[in-house]
Amino acid sequence: MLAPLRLRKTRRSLISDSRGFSSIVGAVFAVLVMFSLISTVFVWSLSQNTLYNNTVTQTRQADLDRSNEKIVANVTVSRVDGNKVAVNGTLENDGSLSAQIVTLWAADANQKTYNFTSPLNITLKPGNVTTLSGSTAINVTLANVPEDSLSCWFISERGNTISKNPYFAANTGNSVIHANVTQGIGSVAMDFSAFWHYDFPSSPAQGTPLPSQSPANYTVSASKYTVFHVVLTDFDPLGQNITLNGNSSIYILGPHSSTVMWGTWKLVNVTGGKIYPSSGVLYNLYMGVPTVLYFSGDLTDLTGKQIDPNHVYPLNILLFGTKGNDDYGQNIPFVSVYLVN
Amino acid sequence: MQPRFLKLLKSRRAVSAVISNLILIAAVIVVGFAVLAWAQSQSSNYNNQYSSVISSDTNQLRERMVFEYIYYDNAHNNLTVYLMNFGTIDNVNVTTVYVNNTPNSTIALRLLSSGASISSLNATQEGYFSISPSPSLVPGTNCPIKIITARGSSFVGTFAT
Repeated sequence: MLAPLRLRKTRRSLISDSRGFSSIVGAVFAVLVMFSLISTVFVWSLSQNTLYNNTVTQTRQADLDRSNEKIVANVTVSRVDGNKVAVNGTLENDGSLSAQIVTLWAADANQKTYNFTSPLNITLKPGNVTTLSGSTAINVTLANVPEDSLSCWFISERGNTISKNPYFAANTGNSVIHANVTQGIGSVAMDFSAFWHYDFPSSPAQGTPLPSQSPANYTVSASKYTVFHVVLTDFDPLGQNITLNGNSSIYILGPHSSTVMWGTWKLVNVTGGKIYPSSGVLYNLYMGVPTVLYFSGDLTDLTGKQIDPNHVYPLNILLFGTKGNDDYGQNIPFVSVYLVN
Repeated sequence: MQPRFLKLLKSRRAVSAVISNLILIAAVIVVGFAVLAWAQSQSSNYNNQYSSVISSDTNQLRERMVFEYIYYDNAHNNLTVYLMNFGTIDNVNVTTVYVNNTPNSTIALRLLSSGASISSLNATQEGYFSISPSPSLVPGTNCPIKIITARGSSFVGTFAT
């Protein structure tokens, strides 16, 4: 009974006291004002902060993507004529994100000329390699004269500048000099530091994994089946690709006997570290790109007959195939091996 | 209820209490609405200001520029700067260029592909501008360059003269 009495008493006091009733109305307005401020200012601030944080996150991600973009440009710049240069080689995406090349710049340090080709729209997925050679080489209109120092660089969509791979550039040097050299000795060069061989006791079956590398690079056992590892690079002055076919071989001809001595190692297919001696093979040499070739065979039948061991013999790397639309043949005669039993 | 209401009407003190209550309530309502409207307008202003500050900050954050190539022609004291907007926002306007810490505000931006005059660079667009640094640059030295955009971003680089 006490509660209803208390309520009635409160109602009476409210009616009799005008300030008490208006206080309630005022309180309602105070709540409304507070609610209005909280709901608009606080919530709005929160949404704006979220927007800002999202932008910061996106920008950081874009910066991270940009710094993770890794494109290797194994390219050379060569003179086409007095107003044009060509960029040949490969562009390889070594990063984990797809990348797009938008612009190619070329400059002639001697003439102080520069120009660009844009848009290129070369898209490289992770691990992809794009070959710029022959018809796919990129031409840049640039005033130049022979033996000028030419340079080039690419611009990616993420804003990275991709210069020529310095290791590749150091190995290829000036393309004009290359052109002059290759006119004299041929379009293919061999990397001597990457010449070695693998040994098998006998002719391996199809799909046999290659053994570990032989420690003696230039010492070959005549009693074993040998697979030569040869790295060749195409430095064709016209920037054409070269395709070598199965007629290519390594040939040995020795002077240490009264009879004619010879032996051959044929160009073979090695895929995924396994050798397929009986499979036909074609090797494509792209302009400026070092390519590994394998030649295999044995001299078992010749041991003690035509080949005298314990002598140094010259190796001739006989290359045959096509360059562009024409036949191409070249002999690289600069290797010698010490033959043992 | 009927007799109680009549009794209330007959009582002067009771009527005056009701009237004073009504007047006070009306006053509180009027003042309350006024305060509410004022609070809402203030919060709205604050929201607009805050929104524009955040928008300006986020737009500035999204600006990214790269120097594709910078070439200085010693003979003619002419510096050409090639840029690309690789950010995610359009209308990036270069307002000031500092070459060797000397400002230059006369920037005539052009599109790289066509050479057409433009006022700003949109996202992924490439452009260039030429200026004549004063004093002229010393050949064979490395010079710092800094560009300032209308949104307040700055991008720095160096080039060889």
